[in-house]
Amino acid sequence: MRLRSWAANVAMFGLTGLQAGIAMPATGPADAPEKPTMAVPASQHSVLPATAPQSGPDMGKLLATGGVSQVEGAGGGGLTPWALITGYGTRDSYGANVHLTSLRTADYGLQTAGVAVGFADRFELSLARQHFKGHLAPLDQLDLKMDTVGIKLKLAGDAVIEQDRWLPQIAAGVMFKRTDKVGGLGALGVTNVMQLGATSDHGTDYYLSATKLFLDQSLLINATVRATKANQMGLLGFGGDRNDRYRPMFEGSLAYLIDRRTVVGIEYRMKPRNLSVDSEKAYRDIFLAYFPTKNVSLTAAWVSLGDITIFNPKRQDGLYLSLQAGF
Amino acid sequence: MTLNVHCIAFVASLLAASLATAASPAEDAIAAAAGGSAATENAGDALRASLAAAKAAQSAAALAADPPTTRPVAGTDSPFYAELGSAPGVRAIVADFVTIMLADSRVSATFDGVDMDRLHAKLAEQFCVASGGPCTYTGKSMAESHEDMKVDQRQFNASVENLQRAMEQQGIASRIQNRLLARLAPTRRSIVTR
Repeated sequence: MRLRSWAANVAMFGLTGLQAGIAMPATGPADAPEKPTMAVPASQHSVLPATAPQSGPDMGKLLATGGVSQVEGAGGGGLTPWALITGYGTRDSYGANVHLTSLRTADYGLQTAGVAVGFADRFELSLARQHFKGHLAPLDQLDLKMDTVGIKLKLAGDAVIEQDRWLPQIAAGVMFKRTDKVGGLGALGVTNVMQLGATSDHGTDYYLSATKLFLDQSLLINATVRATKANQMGLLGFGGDRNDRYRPMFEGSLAYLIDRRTVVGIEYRMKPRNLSVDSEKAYRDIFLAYFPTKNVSLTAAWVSLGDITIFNPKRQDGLYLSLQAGF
Repeated sequence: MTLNVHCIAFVASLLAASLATAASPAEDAIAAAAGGSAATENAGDALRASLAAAKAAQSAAALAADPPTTRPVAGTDSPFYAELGSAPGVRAIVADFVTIMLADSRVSATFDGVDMDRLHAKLAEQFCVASGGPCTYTGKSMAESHEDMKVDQRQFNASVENLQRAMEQQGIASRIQNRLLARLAPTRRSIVTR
């Protein structure tokens, strides 16, 4: 675990948060049942409006119902965006969070840091930076970076409340991605993903997600269809010598609510195979997410990324850890 | 953003108004029952008849407004109701729930002037019916009983959290908690008017 780099990321986002004027509200009575607010005598309430106007973030959504931060920064599971809008703001408010994710397989490491805001439980904006590194020679100097700007709009339904209807919560999203220059392959003269066979170093994913909580069974089901040309999410560019068209890819999540703070589940993410140097496989994981309060969540997962390149045909499995903090 | 919130509040108030209108057939039924029974010679009979009619009409209106939570189920305790501890268990959940609500600044003000004994009784009936217990809900519809409270989503969700906490205190398993919440969650459509 590269603590120094984590610390740098935390500092960076701390600074960004300050610059943006984001003040994280302390966890209110929602998460401090042991210390209930002192009951105000009834004679005092009557002079107050029963409905004080909300100015700041209301943190009004139920615990865990903003999801966690997926690996490209959107609200969702670990690998897949969900139709849930990130954060704890209801339709009357907003929510925001930062996240750090680290995934380490035998021969590669991936770190993601990002920030996301949910407006009115309707619209989500996310920014994330992925950093992929090689750890095994001859790719031990490999260094790929990608920035993703994500937007998501809830179109219909309410995954949590509409327990008497089959309609899931449905959202449409777009991810704008751009890779940075390739590091660590200078000896081969490779500085851009296009030299590895990709037809572009930037691209756009379009997705439609449907998420439904089946409270009666304590289950959450998500299905996402993504139109994409991205190679390894885009880290290896977009399109390639084998294929250069958009193709629909299925992604799914199935989760069980152990209690209101703990969720366990599995995920699957199909991927295209556009590059002849990359025998790209589906991603899968099994995850455990823990929400001690609305201000923080921790997700641990065992992830399989498949084998990344034909030059190292070993399946890449490893531990995924993600920390999200926000409101 | 502010404009959007105002628009939502405006639409919600229109919805609240239409819900209030929808609840009025109960009052019409009471008036009709009272008028019809005026023909009977005995004033006491008339009063009893109209009270019975009023109660029936109120029940019917409540059922029409909130079918998922107010459907009466006859017979012995369902396994689900038994998992909540049947009548004593539900009473204890309700007692904890109300105590937690009154201590929660997000929602406590909405209980000003509320008859607490009645609230306990009606919540117990509602939870009993929702879990398939041998009860009939005799209270007002969710829309009627919350129409003046201007409840927003944050407050509705606060109540859900408080019910979760109450059930946790009573040692109800999470999956059973979720089953009850599944039946109560759709009431948000009638309760949240702001």
